[in-house]
Amino acid sequence: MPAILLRRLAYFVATLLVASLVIFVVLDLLPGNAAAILLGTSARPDTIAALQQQLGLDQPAWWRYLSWIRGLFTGDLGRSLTYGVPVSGLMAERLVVTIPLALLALLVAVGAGVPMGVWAAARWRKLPDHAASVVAQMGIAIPDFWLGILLILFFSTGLNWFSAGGFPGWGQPLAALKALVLPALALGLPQAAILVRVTRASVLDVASQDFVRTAEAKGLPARQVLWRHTVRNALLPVVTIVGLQFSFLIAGAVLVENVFDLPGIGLLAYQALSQRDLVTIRSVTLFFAGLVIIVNFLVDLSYLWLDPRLRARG
Amino acid sequence: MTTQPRRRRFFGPFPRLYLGAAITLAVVALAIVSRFWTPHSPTRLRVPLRLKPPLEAGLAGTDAFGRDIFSQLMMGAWNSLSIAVLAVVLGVVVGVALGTLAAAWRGRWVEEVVMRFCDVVFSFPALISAIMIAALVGSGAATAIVAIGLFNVPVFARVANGMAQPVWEQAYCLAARAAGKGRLRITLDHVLPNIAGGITVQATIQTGLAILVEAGLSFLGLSLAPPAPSWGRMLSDAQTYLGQAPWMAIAPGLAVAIAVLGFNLLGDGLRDKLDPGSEARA
Repeated sequence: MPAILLRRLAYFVATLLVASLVIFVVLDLLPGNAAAILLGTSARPDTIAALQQQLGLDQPAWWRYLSWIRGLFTGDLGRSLTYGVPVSGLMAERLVVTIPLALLALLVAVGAGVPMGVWAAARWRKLPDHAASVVAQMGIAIPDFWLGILLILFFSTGLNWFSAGGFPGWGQPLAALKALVLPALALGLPQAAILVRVTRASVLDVASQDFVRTAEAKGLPARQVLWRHTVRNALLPVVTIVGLQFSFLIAGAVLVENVFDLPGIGLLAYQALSQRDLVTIRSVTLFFAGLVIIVNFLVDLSYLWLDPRLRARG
Repeated sequence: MTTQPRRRRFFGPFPRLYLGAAITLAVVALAIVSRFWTPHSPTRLRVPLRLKPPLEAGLAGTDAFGRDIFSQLMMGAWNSLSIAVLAVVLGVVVGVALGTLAAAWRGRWVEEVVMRFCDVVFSFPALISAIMIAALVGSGAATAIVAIGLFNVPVFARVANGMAQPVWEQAYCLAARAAGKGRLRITLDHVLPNIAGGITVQATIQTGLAILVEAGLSFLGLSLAPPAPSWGRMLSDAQTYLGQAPWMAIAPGLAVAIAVLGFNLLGDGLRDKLDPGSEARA
């Protein structure tokens, strides 16, 4: 048991390291001189040299990489090339928008997707099942940022219930929460469609197993068979998918935050790109990739915990 | 819940397959026709006709420069489909090669290296790779193709590896090995033909997903450069005129959704046909 845990932990750390190396090579080594890029073609050599020194670019590459990695632990990720403020502070102030947004979206996805999936499975090949599969197919095909635009069109431009975008800040908690409602729906509903399919398939899978037949045979009410015996066991794969969706939701925020003009980490990634702020992009992309890796690792661990057979196999 | 009533058959035995094929064919046909003919020029500016609603000028109205939206949608279909297909081809070629190699040398370092490589690539969502690539070489069709293609590499590597492993257990593969065929030869002669169907199903579904991602990339301006019409950028342009010209925002999104729906249904339908037991699992 500890051996396989150590093995997974080693993979996890190695994946993180390789991902960070890839990011470093693509965003620091390959582009060449960030100082020259920043100052443009007309810059004088001594200005470039001064900025290089200020940015630490006169140091060798391995040293720059190591100090970036060290900064991940100490919170010093360098200064943004365009804003001139520390990248870690910039990211922190954006995350207080994106993380609540992703959690709300997850709530939408689970709250709409799981019950609908259970309902579809319980009425297998009847009208609710067909309806759910149509809704799920449409939900998967609809781009989340387009859904965002449609929601603005309907609820902001049309009904005037919500503002079309922007974020008032958490100083006004209610207004802030209200500003996140439409973006969370836009992000969460397409993910709900995926959960409908996963939940339905999982419930159907469990429903065909012997212990469910036993429960039915001993005369338990159908409702009890469904919720206590079937759904409970069917939720394990669903939980896995929900975990993975969290990281996709954060990445999807790049688009949805753009639509709703929310100052989150996704919008930061986009703004940093349009200003070629490589120092910021490098830490933001590592944040996105690292999140996927961490969530994958946790999902792996939960498998080991939930399914003893995997522990034995190694 | 466990008994199986006969299913209703609207479109023959494989309703999703035929519906998906019909939608996909229609989108592909519009894309190909746009190379020769569109109702109006998709790029010509006609200021007197700006912001006209659907049917008043053209099938889907006009945009802020008086360009015909339906013609732009047709050209957009070509641009979006070609980027999506090229990206998936990239993913299939590299991914299937890696996946089948890992299966051929199962338990060796080859498998380990391939799978760990997949873990790393998989940790970069296509949008994030696109931002990185765009930061390095700028945006454009190639950036979109590489970013979406890269994301597809681990998808196909894992699928191909998963499908190739049971093939290696088959008697004919054992016989081929006993007869002295090399692993590469067996992969080409026996493994690839046997997994081709499954890969096709996956490729169809991934093409739908690629269209979705491409729309996102061109929405952010990371894909094809203007003035080439693209569904994503049409949506981005539409945001400025939501109050005045809602059709500008509705039509391109509908186009994306219909195209993605077509490929998804086609992929699901193909799977139903190739592997009839999969319906409940899907």
